[in-house]
Amino acid sequence: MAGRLPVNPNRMELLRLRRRLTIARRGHKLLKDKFDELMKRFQKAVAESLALREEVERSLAEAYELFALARSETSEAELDEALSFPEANAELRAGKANVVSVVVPELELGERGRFDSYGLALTPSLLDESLAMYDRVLPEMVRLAASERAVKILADEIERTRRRVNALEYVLIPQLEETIRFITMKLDEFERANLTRLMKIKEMVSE
Amino acid sequence: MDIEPDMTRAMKTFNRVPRYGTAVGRIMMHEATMLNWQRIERLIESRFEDCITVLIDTEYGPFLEGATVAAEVEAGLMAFLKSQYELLDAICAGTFVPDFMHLKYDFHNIKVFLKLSRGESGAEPMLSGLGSLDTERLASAVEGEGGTLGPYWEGLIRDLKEESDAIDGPGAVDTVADRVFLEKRLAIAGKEKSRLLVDFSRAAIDVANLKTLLRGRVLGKPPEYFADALAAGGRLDRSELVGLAGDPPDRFSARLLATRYGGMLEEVLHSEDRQVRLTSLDRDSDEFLLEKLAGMRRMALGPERIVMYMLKRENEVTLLRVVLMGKLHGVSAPVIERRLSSTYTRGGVQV
Repeated sequence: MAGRLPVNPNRMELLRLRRRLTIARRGHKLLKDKFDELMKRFQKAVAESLALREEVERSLAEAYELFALARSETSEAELDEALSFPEANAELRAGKANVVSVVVPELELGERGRFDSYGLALTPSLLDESLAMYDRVLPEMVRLAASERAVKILADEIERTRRRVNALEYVLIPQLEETIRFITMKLDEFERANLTRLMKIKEMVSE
Repeated sequence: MDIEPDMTRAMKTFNRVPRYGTAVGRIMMHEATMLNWQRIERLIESRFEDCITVLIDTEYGPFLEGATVAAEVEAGLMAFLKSQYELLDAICAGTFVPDFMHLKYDFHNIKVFLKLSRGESGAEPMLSGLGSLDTERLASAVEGEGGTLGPYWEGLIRDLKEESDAIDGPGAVDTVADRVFLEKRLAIAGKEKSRLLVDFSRAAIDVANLKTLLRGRVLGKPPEYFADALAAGGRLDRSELVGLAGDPPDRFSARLLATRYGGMLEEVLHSEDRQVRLTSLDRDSDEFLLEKLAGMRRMALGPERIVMYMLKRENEVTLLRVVLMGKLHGVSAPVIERRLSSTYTRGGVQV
């Protein structure tokens, strides 16, 4: 039950409420459109994100297995030494993108230098492949991070928009309609009472 | 072939009896405790916990008992290797053998300190406990303080520093130090006039050069890198190998296959499967060097037998690490088996 707003039943209030109802209906339509568009974008983003996650997880599993094997073929101290002071470094640039008035992050990875800054004569060959795989998967991981964050932000926005749409559709608009109906009835009743009173006065005057 | 006169050979053998007689006897006793292929096969097929149970009955037992995580396995294996080096130092004191064997780890520690002198962070976790040089003195020598390690090492460190400083990039230290290590090891073997050790050291140089060449080409290293990285002294001419680096793939493969290492490289160069290529290069080069070691078994008395034992033990430790770490990381048995040298698996050559 929507209930009624606690207002004084007068003509001014009626006009104000009618204006509010018009705005609420327009807002509801806009929000509903936004909700539909957000859902469309969200579904697309989720599908992309899932595919990307599968790809990243598969690549990481493969790189991890290769690295575990490479790691086992040499002592921990030797591997630590080989991989200490790498030439490669990564720079993460963060930006913003606008999706249906929702701000989502945009991450870009800028890499400098080579990852293979170790001796090739005495280290296991698998190290090259595992590190190359990590090198390939790193930009994908950054893309995945941005994509999953965008999905989370879109999901939050959808939830918020859905609440607003529902609040308008099932609470505010019915309340306004109910209150308008109540005020209209009250005003009609006043009108009728006034008319009856006038007729009675006229009757008394004519007697 | 430089065949030594009979008299010199006889004197050499005579000299070797007091120097290596006891040591070889003790080494032969330890050789008998090495893992055979049946036990390796059993390890490959077992779960990690069962592997530890199997190893309890071996020389590794006291070092690996109760190991449950990778760090404990690594610590146990390194402690075992340290005990082997302590044995070596005890039985071969005063000979060149400890120098020959410790050299790799001394160079490792030098690399750590040289890299530290270029960067930051702590050295302790990266240092190897198997080197013969005192690490504090080594650090001082790398800092440029004279009179700590003696003229040989101080001169070597100075040269390494100058040479690696002349090359651009953080990988320079590894590139130069690995090359110099291989050359110095050959020099030690040459000084001792042990033909088998010289052969082994030369083969190790060739294998390292081929690995550097093949991997460097795949990684797109510039031609000047090979001039800095390839070691001299191997059977394959260094300058020819440097020249090969820029050859087109077909010519490159053909020229490598025509060398004495053609058989070892066939699978690496021809396989279409990336995994096979990667696995083959390390495994085949290890097998090649193990076969080289097999020749040392013929030496009943001498440093070769001791060096062979130590290198085989190091290989065995690596093999155990591959199996145990593989088990801990959930790597399947066939993948682990592919990584191991056939020397240690069914049907392989027993060195």
